[in-house]
Amino acid sequence: MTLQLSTITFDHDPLSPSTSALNIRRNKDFEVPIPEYDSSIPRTPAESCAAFAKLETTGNNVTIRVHLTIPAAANVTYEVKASGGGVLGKLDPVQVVFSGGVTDQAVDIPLAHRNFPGISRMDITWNWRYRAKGGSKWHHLATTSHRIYVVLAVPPSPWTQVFADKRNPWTDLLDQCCVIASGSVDAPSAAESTNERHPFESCSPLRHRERRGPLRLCSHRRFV
Amino acid sequence: MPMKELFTRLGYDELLKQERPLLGENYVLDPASLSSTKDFKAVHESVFLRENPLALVRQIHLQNASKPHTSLNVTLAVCWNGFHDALALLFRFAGSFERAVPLVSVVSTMVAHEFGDFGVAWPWSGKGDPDILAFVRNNALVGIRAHDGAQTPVLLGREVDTALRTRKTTDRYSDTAHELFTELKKRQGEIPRVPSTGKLPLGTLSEGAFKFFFLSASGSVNREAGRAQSWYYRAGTQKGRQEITLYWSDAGILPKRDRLNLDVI
Repeated sequence: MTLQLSTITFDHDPLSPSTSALNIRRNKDFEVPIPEYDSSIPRTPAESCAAFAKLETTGNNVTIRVHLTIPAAANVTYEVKASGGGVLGKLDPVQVVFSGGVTDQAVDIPLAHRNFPGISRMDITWNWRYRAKGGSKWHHLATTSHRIYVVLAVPPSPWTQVFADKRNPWTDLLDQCCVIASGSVDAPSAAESTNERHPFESCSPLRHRERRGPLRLCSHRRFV
Repeated sequence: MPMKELFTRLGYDELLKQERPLLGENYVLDPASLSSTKDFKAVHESVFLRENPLALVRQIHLQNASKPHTSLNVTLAVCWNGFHDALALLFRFAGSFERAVPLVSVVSTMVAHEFGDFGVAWPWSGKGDPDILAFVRNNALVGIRAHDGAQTPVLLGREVDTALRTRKTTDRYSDTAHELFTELKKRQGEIPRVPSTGKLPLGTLSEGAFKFFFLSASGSVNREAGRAQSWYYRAGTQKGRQEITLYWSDAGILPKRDRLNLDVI
């Protein structure tokens, strides 16, 4: 019997940035779809994206929620794992139990090997494998790719973590900020990176003013 | 002298105790029809809804057809909640520049140029024709940033103020039914229901000459991925009666508004 990976949800708890991905959206007009990965809908890694806050997740059991399906009801137990994962790390084997006529099972998988050293934007790939419990041979399940943003902490006001709010952090901005401030481990170094490598760098009057005066790009500094 | 002190000296605080009617008739800035900007063409235009204070803002970049070095950046805003918000926007406009404002050169547009309910203007060099000019007429804000503009900002300001001053006014804005909501009510009932965190398709809007803006206290109105003209409401986690407000505008500065009540269950 073939096991199928149906969906992966990174932002499975909209109220918790410490055990789940952040509430984000693409921009003022478009949401980031949830579940972020759906095997029935082709998406690029950039569309299958999630953001994590380093401060809030540190020391916590951060998980993703995965839905797995079997084509017909059966009493069977599988083990599922994934290799790769970049900053999210590999996923240790977890058991998925199908019984009582259930064909769709959800399982929360800990990101036990994640590594959030600082601000980053990374496209990661997981190679998913499974085997029947007690079996020896692992089978290919799926290959999934995702864009993962890591920020230092939950972005403060005017951004918000209220679910479905237009002021959830925008990935259009994260795509800029997390690259510009990539590798920064604290707010001052992120601000410095932003100031020095801002897209308006070529605009000399602004550059002159930014470097001479106090930091004016507060939103960038606070965002990451 | 800080900007606030300067504004007080020009009578800003006194005006905050007063009221003005609301602009009741739309205004479209057409550079070709104004004597001050007949040699200019619009090279860029953007429209957005500012939430705090609530205002439809239209920014138009005008360039002299024969001397591209001469340009004007015109901001027109109508504050839905009235005169005081327009004054607040004016204060923010005056404080929005990276360059230090030569405060001793700032003049009142009312005194120096005889237009606006309240306004300020200044040349960056400290003397000569103003490069920056901003004024309020009723609940409308007009801001002009000129580059190599000579007398054009003052002439344009006067023409726009004349147009605004002679338009009808009103004491309050009323709603205008929009077919997006009327059609939705036909389909879903007067008060549509949507589960918490769920999705309510609203319908399709043909944008064309119109710009649409949605506000909601909880949840958000979004475009469908791959079908950008289709909109839906994503409910938040807050249950109970919610309101979606739709503002839309044509080429002018006065938007129309319609509202939809719904229940998040």
